[in-house]
Amino acid sequence: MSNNNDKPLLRVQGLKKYFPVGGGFLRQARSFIHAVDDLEFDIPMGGSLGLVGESGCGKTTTGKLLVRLHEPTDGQIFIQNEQGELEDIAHRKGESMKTFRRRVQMIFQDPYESLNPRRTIYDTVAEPLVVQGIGTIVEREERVAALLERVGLTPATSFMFRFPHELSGGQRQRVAIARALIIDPVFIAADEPTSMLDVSIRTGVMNLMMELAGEMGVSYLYITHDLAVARYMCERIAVMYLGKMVERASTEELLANPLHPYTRALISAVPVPDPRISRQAIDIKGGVSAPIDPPPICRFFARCPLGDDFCENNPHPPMEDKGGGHYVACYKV
Amino acid sequence: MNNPIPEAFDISQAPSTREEKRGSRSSAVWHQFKRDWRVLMTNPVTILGVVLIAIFGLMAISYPLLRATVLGAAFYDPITGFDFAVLHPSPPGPGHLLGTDSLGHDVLSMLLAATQPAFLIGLAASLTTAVISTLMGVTAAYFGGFVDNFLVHIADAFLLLPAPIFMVIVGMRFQDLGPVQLGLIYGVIAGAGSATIVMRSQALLVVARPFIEAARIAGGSSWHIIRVHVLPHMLPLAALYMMLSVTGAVVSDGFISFFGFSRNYLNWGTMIYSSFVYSSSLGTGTEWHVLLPPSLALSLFAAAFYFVSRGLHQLADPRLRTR
Repeated sequence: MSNNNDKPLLRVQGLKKYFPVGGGFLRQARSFIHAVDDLEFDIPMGGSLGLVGESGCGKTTTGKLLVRLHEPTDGQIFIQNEQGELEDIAHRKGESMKTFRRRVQMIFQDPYESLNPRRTIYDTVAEPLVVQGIGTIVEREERVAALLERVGLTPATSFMFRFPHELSGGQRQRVAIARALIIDPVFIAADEPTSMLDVSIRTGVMNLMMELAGEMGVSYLYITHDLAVARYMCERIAVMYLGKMVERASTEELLANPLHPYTRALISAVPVPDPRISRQAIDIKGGVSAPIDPPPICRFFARCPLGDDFCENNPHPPMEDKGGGHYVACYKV
Repeated sequence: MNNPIPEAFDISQAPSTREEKRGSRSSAVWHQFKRDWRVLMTNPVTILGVVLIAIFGLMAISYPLLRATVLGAAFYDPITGFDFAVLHPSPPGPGHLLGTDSLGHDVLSMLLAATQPAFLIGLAASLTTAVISTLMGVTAAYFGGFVDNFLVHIADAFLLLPAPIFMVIVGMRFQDLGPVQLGLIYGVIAGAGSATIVMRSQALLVVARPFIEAARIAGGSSWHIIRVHVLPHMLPLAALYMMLSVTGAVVSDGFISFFGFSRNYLNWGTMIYSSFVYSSSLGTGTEWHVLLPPSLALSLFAAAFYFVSRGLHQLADPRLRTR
């Protein structure tokens, strides 16, 4: 694939997901949670994007939309197919959906719940191969064994036929990584894969993910609420607030030069391990509200220290390039 | 120390993965079974239930053998047998271990003859209950939305239907129903009602777990996910409802017969009924030796499966286990 380096691996345009509130049997829902509203971003071949934001801002929903666990309300998700062309998979169904499943995988947050407790490690890791009908049983076993060794579960023969409850949290997450990589995907959505792990083993799992992604040429979306983790793992970072993307830039640019008031507040909240450094705290008012039928103005307006009449009377600001691929959605910067 | 590496850690000794897999699969199932069995056997009530079921099983198996050997047709056939040597009803004695009723039937023979139909009813009812409740519950929980609403409304309707009364009406209308048919009818009512509601709530818990989403991302079809990931988690609860269904079905069957709607097979309810009816018409008073054995058998048979269900309940819900 030499001629498509200019094309992104994944391109998202106007992605929306609204969840109905209250509707039911023969009854139309009146209001909607705007979980993900009008997202737009690219992930280059072999690149990585960190998705940062507080709880309930739509990070996980975005991840699940990209792997099509949710059906988008609107918008397009383009992904390069095997011929290097961008294909819209936002509303795929049936057999072509199954082919798409080979290209995109997900790693879940909770390694205790994402592995079926009644299935052996081999069953779990080989499942994508089995449902996609790839390889013979012998080939699958060799592949599973090789990958288990690669993710650090050695010797593979002693892990393959154990059950998840016999493994530690870190080992389970390694199994989850092996399951995601077994069918050579091009893209992985990782939903806070280290947040449930013990601090002492987090770095190990993160390093493993980065190494493997580099080796196998996999791009990934790394969802986290921890800016330090996003910085460690990702080339670029996008910040979300209440379903909207508010800022997107390369990792160093975003951390050194945050423009959006929400990003600044987030960064100022990261503890600095040096007591002599004093940093100006950015104050934002109030708490995060539920994004049920939000007013069409800037989502951050109610908490924004910079907001004024102009913000109150205009729609949510569009993402604007402030130079060098640093996109911000704010009228005031 | 000749061998510094303990055998368990020497991976060069590991069998090839294919062999190990096959061995380990079956041994995993076997280990699971042994673990479950051990949990079951910690509950004295469950042990009592298993022993009782074993005794009833022996009764059902021994009946045809005894009839072929010591219980000859002329004296001991539960329908046509009549012993001219004694005055009926006769109390328990050497010729008739549990005595005879006013029509000259041997009580022990009837008691044994009724065991097999009881098992048939129980088996038919429990299998029907398990299949229907699992199908409806899992379908409703997995697909949600309209399917869920539709199935839950059906389940609610069946829930409001009183099974024993319904069975009496069915027994009255269709007097030639065999034990299997009656078991099926009971199984449908019990399975589509309360059992479906409970199985659905269990399936809802399973379906919400992330490994279901992981299987979907792997490309698994709904059928694959239900078969491989959901159904195994439903089995303990299904087994529990099978046991409860046996109890319900056998009691219902006795219930119908007790009202005098006897059918073309013998059951304990019919014996209880006849111990009152013929004795009062012949003026001999209640025949206790005819009344007690089937009453005890019916109660114990129903109780045995309920006792086992208590243990299965602990298995399905580990929070109930005593530490």
